[in-house]
Amino acid sequence: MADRVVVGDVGGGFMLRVSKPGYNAYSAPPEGLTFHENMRPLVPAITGYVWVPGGTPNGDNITSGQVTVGLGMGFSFPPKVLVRNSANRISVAAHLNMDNGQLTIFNDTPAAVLARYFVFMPF
Amino acid sequence: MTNRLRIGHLFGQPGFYISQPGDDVNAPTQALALDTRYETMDIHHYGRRRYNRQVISSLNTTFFTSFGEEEFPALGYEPMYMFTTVRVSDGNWVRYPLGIYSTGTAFPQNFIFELRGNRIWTTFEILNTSAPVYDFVYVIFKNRWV
Repeated sequence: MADRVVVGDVGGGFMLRVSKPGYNAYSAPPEGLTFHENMRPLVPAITGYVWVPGGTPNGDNITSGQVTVGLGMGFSFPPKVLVRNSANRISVAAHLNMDNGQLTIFNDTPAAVLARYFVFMPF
Repeated sequence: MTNRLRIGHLFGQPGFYISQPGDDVNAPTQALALDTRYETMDIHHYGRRRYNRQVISSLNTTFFTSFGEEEFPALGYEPMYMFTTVRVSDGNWVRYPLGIYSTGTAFPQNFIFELRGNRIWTTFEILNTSAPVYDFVYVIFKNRWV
């Protein structure tokens, strides 16, 4: 039976680990652990809903409707941002000004959509 | 007072379990705040670097292609990753999702991304003759992909 959970001082170093089935929590490589004391997970830090107005037909194209939301902080490293509309279609895209945290969401359909955005902070 | 932290067996698996406020960790009614039965994305290495550009002229079109190679500490397997670009003309701009074109903006398209061992190679195209400058940005996770 492998040791699956470790909490405490191990040879002078602090360990807080959980291993996957079949791995020993003391010695497993990173891929064999589901949790360890130095891990840096991707944290979903900011999320919100916003209505994005519909786009305007422009010949064979469409001029995107758009709205800008403030995320309340600037970023030195790009966060991972997911944007989707309430119908779960990828008709919305966005761009982020990292310096001031302004996220502009675009809608390429003629109808207004309710978009949800998730901002995952790597650091 | 509700029990919210359990270290040991739960659901037949040893691990760390933390419930949401007000929810009993031993009989949770909502998703757990921490459940070590499942993996989470765990960051291994990251970087950002300005890529060189080369002008490509083909027939009546001119565009730019950028390419580069990055090295990261090897894990011994192919890890999960994510990457993007930052447009560094007029501030720092990121596009989500990557490669989707939208009115009034020009962001990189046609990515070729390859990860092998401890290296990644990337090529992308910029269909804009005003030639904005892009940084390549990547995050490597400890999680195994293949």
